[in-house]
Amino acid sequence: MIVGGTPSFAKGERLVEPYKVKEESITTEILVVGGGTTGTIAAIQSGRAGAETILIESGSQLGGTTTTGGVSFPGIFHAWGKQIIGGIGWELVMDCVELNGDKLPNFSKIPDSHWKHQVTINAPLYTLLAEEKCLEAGVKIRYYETPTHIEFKEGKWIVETVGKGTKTSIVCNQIIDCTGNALIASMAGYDVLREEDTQPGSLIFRLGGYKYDALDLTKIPKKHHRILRQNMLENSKRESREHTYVPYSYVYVPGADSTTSEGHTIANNEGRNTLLNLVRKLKTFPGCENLKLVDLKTETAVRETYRIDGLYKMNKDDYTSGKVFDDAVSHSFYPIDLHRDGKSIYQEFLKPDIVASIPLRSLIPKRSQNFLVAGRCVSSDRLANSALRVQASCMGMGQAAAVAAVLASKQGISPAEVDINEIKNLLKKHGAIIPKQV
Amino acid sequence: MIKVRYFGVVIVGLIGLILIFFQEKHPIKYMQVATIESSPAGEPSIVVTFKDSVTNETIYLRKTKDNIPLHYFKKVIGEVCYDDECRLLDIVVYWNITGRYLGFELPKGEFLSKYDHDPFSENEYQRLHTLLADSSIPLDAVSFEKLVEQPKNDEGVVDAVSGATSKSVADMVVKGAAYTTYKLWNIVNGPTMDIVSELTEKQLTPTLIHRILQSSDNNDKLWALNRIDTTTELTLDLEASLLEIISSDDFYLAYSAIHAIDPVHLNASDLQERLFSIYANVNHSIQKELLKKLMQSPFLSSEVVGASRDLLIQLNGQQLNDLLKL
Repeated sequence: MIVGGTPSFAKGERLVEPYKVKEESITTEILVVGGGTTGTIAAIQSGRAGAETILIESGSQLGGTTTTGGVSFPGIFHAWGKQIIGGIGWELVMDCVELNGDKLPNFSKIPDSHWKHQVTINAPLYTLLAEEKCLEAGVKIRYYETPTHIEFKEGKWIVETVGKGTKTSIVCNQIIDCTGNALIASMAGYDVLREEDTQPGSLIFRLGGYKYDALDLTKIPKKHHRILRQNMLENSKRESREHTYVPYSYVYVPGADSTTSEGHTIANNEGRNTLLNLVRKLKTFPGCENLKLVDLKTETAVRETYRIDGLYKMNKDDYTSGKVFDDAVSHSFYPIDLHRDGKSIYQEFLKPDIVASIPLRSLIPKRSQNFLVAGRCVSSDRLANSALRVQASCMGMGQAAAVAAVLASKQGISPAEVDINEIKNLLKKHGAIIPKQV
Repeated sequence: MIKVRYFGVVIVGLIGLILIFFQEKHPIKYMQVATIESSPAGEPSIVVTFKDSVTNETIYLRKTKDNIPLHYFKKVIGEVCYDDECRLLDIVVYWNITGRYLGFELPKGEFLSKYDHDPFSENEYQRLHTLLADSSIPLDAVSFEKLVEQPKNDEGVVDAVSGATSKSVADMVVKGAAYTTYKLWNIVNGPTMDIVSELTEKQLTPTLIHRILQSSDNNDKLWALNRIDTTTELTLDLEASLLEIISSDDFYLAYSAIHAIDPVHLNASDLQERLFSIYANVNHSIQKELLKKLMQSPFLSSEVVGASRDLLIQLNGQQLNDLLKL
C-alpha cells in the first residue's frame, strides 16, 4: 500500500528541489581543456601570467598520465649534465620530491639507461600540489566536465560543456587543447591525423607476495618472466650510488583511445580483463601461489591517438638532429621510442650533446585562430611523436602554449601573430628554458 | 688438422714471449683521472688488512708530502677458479680516495690472458679498464653461474663463452674473458670501495674537501659535497669552491652544493651575502633552491634584505612570493 500526502520531517530535514541541470554562461580569457600532465602546467602558467583561466577536466583530479595513469616518474628534464626543461613542471616535481623526502637521481652522471633520469614522485602528493598551485594561480578548475560543441564567433570561442548536473557555455579569447587526443581541435574543425596502427596503452599495476630471486624460472613460461622481474626491480643495493626507482608493471592495451567515454571504457575493460587473467595465470606457477595484486591505477594510460596538422610538422630527423628552430619554445629529450604491435619497442637514442627542440608552430593547427594545442597531439610524424609524447616535454609545451595564449589574448590576436621574442622573454621570466641556437 | 693446432699453439706462445719481453720493461698499467693529481711521497702505509674469499687483502694508502691522501691500492694475488679451470691472478688495483676506481697495474712480466691463454690485446685491456670503471654494470646483482648460461662446449671453460655469451653479458665483459672481468669488477666495485671511502671520511678536513672539490670528476665532487655537515668549517677556500659549483651550469652539482650548506653555516652574514650575490646569474631552478636555503638562515643579513629590494622588479609573482617569505 502506498501512502501519499505530505512527508513528515525529522529535525533538520527538508524537502529538496527535483534534480535540475544547472545551465549558465561564463567568460574567461583562457580556456584550458584537459587537466593532465600538460594542461595542469598550462593552466598554472596562464593564471600566473595574469590571465583569467578556466581549466576543464573530465576526471576527478589533475595530473593525467602522471597521476591517474600511474606513470609517476616524469622525465626527462636533464640531458648531458644540464637541465633542459625547467619552469613550472620542474617546480611541481621538485616540490613533490622535497615534501615527500625523496632524492633526485644524479643528473650529473650520464646514465646507461635513459629512464634513470626520470624522477620518481609520490603521485597522490603530486595531485594535491598540482591542484594547490592551480588554485593559488587563480585558475578555476571544473572537474567532471567535457566539451560538446565549439564555435568561433566575433573573435571569441564559445565552448559548450557538460558535466555532472551542469551545462555550461564558456566564452573565451583563447583555447589550449591539452586533451592529448586533439579532441577540441577536431571539434573545432581542424585537421587531425591518426596512424592506422597506434601504439598500445598501458594499465599499470603492482604485484606482491612472491620473491623473484627464489623463483625457478625454468618452470615458468618465458613470456611471463618480464612481468615478474620488472615488478620486483629494486636496486636497493646501490641506493647510495645510484637512483632507485619505483618498480612497476603494466599490461598492454592494444588500440587504447581515451577520446570518448565509450573508447576509454573499452580500454579500461580490456586492460582490467587482461590483468585479471594474468593474475590468475601467474598464481598457478610455483613460487607465485601467494601472489597478490597490490596496486592498480585508476585507468588505462594512453600513448598515441591523434595529432594535429600544425603549421609545422616535426619529423624524426628534426628530433634526432637536435634542430633548434627560430621559434623553438621548449626542449624535448627522449629516445625515439615506438611500442610496436605491443610486442617490441623500437628505440633510437640521441647522440651525445643532442637535445631536440619544439617550435611554436607545431602547437598551432593550420588555419586556426586563437587556438593552441600542447602535449602528445603536437604536430609531428609518428617517430618524432614517440619521443615528444613524454611528460617533461609535454610540461614544457604546456607552459609555452600558455604564454603564447596569454600574450595573444592581451593583444587581441592569434598566437601565431605574437612576437616570438616576447613569448620567449615571458617564458624565461617564468623559469622556462628556451633552446638556444648554437 | 693436428698441424694447424700445433702451429696455433706455437704462434700464441711466441706472442706470449714477445709480450713478456715487452712487459719486463713496461709494466701494464691503466689509470683514470685521479681525484687529486699530485705525486706520492714516501712509502705507502698499510691501512687495513683483512681476509676475504679470494686471498689475504691488505689495503695500502699513498699520500703526498703534505700528508694529503692520494689513493689506495690492493695487491690481489691468487688463483681464481671456476668450473675446474684455474688461473693465476696477480694484479694491483687502485682506488681514488673517494672510493672511485682509479686503475690497475700488473707486476713486471705479468699479463692477463683469455681462455686458451691468449694474452689480452691493448684494446682488451682498455675495454677491461672501461668496464671496471663503470659501477652501474649489474655484475654484482647475480652470481656468475646465473649471469651466463653455461655453454655446452667440449672444454667446459667458462671464459670460452665468447661465442655463446648472451648479448647482455657480452656487453658487460671482455670477450673470451667473462670470468676474469666478472671477478675483477667485483673486486673493484665490491666492499673495498666503501672501506676506502670510509677511511678517507675519517681523514676529512676542510682543506681535503676543498681539494676533492677541485677534481675534474663529478662523482668525486658529489662525494665531497655529501660529506659536508654542521661540523665542517666553511673556510674561505671551501666556500669559494661551493659558490663556484652553485654558479656552474650543472644543475645536480649546484643543487647538491646548496644542500651541503647547513643552516648553522648561515650564521655567517658573509656567506648569506655571497650566496645572494650569485642569485641573478644562476638558472631559475637554482634560484629557487637558493631562496629555500636562505629561508633556513637563523637571521637574515641586512645586506641581503637591501640587495633583494633591487631584484623585486625583475621577479615573477612566484619568485616574489618566495622572496617575501625570506
